[in-house]
Amino acid sequence: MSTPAMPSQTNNGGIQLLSVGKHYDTQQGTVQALAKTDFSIEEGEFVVLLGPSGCGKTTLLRLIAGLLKPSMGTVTVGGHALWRDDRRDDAAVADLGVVFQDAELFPWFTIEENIALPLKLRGVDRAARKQRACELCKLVGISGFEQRYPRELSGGMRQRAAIARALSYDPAVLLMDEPFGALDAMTRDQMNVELQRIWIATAKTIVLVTHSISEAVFLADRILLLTSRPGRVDEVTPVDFPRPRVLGLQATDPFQHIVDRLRERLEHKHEH
Amino acid sequence: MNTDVKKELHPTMAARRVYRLSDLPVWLCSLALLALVLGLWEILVRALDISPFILPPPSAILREWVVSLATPVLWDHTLVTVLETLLGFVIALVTGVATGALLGKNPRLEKILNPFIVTTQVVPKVAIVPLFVLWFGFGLTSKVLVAAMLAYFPILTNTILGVKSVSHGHRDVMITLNASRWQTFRNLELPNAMPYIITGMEVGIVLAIIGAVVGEYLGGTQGLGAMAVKEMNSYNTARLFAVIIHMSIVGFVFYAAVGVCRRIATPWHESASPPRS
Repeated sequence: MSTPAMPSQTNNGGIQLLSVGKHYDTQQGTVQALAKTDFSIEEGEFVVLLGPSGCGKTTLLRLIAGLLKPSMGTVTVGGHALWRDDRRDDAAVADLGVVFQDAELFPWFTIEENIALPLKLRGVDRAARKQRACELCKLVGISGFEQRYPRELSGGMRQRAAIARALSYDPAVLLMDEPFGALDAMTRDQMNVELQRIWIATAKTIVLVTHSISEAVFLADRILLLTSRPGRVDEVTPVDFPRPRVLGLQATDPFQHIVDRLRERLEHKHEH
Repeated sequence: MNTDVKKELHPTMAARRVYRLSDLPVWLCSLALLALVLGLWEILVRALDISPFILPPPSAILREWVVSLATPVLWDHTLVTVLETLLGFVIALVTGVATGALLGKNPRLEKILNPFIVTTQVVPKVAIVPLFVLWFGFGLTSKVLVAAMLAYFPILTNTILGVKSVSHGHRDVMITLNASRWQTFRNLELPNAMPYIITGMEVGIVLAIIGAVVGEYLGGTQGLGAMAVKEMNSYNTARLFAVIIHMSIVGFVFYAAVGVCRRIATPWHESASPPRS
């Protein structure tokens, strides 16, 4: 996608947060949801935001997604500032694909129509939409279900369709808010392997929110550990197991070592 | 010996041998109930020698109805009532969905207008019918407008509810896709409102017929309502009943047609799927 004529787009999938913070003004005073945060995510990186509920990890993801406007600081996506006054930058938004916790497919559209909805909004013609949806179904492993309605699919398959929808317009970044939180443990493990495969196949930048430590260690290049009151990034943990990682990795000592260390860190923080 | 065997059987197996009412198909039970009521009616009317001016037996009513089915008069009146109902209903549907969508998308406007909407809901609208006859005459117009007025409110309120009841998660999807207001309406709010709108239509179509018939009661010589009044004035009770039955069937057909609309327009929704046993 990047062309020499547009040097600002050489870092298509990169994300920068500069002094980003979020607070809400309520009748009881100001509530700080996210303390001043600085970090940057490389293009093609898999970053996991890990923390207990209420630590502001979802707030942070929604700030990157443009669903929340930061109270201070700047979010930059692919070299474009996300907010310009009260309007979001079209180029920055076009670089973002979001996957929500509850798939959020539209029940009145078939799986194919759901996946192709972003293309329909962009004015892509019907035949091209159909073809793209078909390719994506193959990629996420739900071929043959194109004409079904979402309620006819299992939770795991609905989430696959939601990923396909987010990928349909080929954004450089995939933002995922506890995408497998509602799934059972076995399906969840399987979806983690699938997500890794999709990530390798598409070379997207992924920012994923979770409260599962093992999910974080299994998926991430880097884990941002968040702590609560106020929500802030506590520490950054690089994870450098080779790819593709297999589920058996979770039983190994180095894997458990990182999990244990993160758990201790979280529990320690929680006592204060 | 048989009783001994039964004792040894598993309770569910023993129950299976017993003939139960719940084993019959539902439609057959409904039909049997109808036959029972009609049978009792027939017997009571004959046994108590009730005057046919008060309560004719079902057999006489049925005869009258079948006879009038063969006459063009009944069909002419039916056509008028159907036309009034349909025109009124379509007006109510278009204006109800349009204004409902507008109010659903503008909470401030809805709050301002809400007291008026509630007031119009509470006022017995049938009481305004003479006014409509006064303003628009004894012809088709007054009846169409009465039908439209009665059908309008359930469609309006259901559309407002449907447009407003979009989930936050679905809204977030459209925001992240940078959808325009119109795209959001077309792809999210309107389809989300569809099951609600159709529920409004189900209530609305019945009210539209009531509006048309009540309008016909009060003025004019056309339509099933006017026909019923004529039979009443000539004390032809059996034929009056026949007209009432005919109206009910027309109403039933309309209601069923909306049900077909539901299955066509919202095949994705639980309300459109056949009941599971």
